[in-house]
Amino acid sequence: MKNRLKVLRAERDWSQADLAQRLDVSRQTINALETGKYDPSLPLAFRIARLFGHPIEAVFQDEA
Amino acid sequence: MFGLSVAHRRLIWFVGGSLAAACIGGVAAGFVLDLGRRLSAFETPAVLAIGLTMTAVMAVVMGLNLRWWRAVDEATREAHKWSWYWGGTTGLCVGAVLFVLVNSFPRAVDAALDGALSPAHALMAGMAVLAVLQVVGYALFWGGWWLARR
Repeated sequence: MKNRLKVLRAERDWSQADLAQRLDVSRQTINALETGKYDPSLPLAFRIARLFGHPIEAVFQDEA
Repeated sequence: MFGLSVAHRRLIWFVGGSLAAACIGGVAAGFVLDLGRRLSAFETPAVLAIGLTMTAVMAVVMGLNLRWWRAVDEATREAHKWSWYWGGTTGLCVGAVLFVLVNSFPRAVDAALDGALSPAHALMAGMAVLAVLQVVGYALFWGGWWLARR
């Protein structure tokens, strides 16, 4: 699954650590999400979308 | 505490508390074991006391473990679950090969050990080898999981 996490984070000038703190996850998790090597659970995906103020499909795109 | 996350603080409590509980339990078990050896009539209660002490230590360890587990995020949990499954299974597979080898050539193993281990110690060593193989497998797969997601 592709996502726009890195772009959305950069737009707000947040570091990975900042985003990790806001989402209450580890920085390593943010890195794994941004590189598309870890797909979040539905609750975490919703939390991310809510934090950026976008609908979930604007943050995550299914590659299928 | 020093700007650490809740998960990190609980990990410190988990590791530190487990070590402290193991030390206290070990000293208590050693004291009871020594008493049991001096007073032969005390041996059966000593075995029970050591068993109960170690159960209490493990209960503390698992309680701290649970507190830490509730604080970690889902990717961290996934890494541990995946690593325990695949690393633990791989470790057990290696253990199964060793098990079959020892079972197939018991005289060669006896000759190699040359009475170095009593039956009780051999049993302990067998259990420890299986546990170590699983932990090594888990650690390797856990490192691999995070390396693949850098």
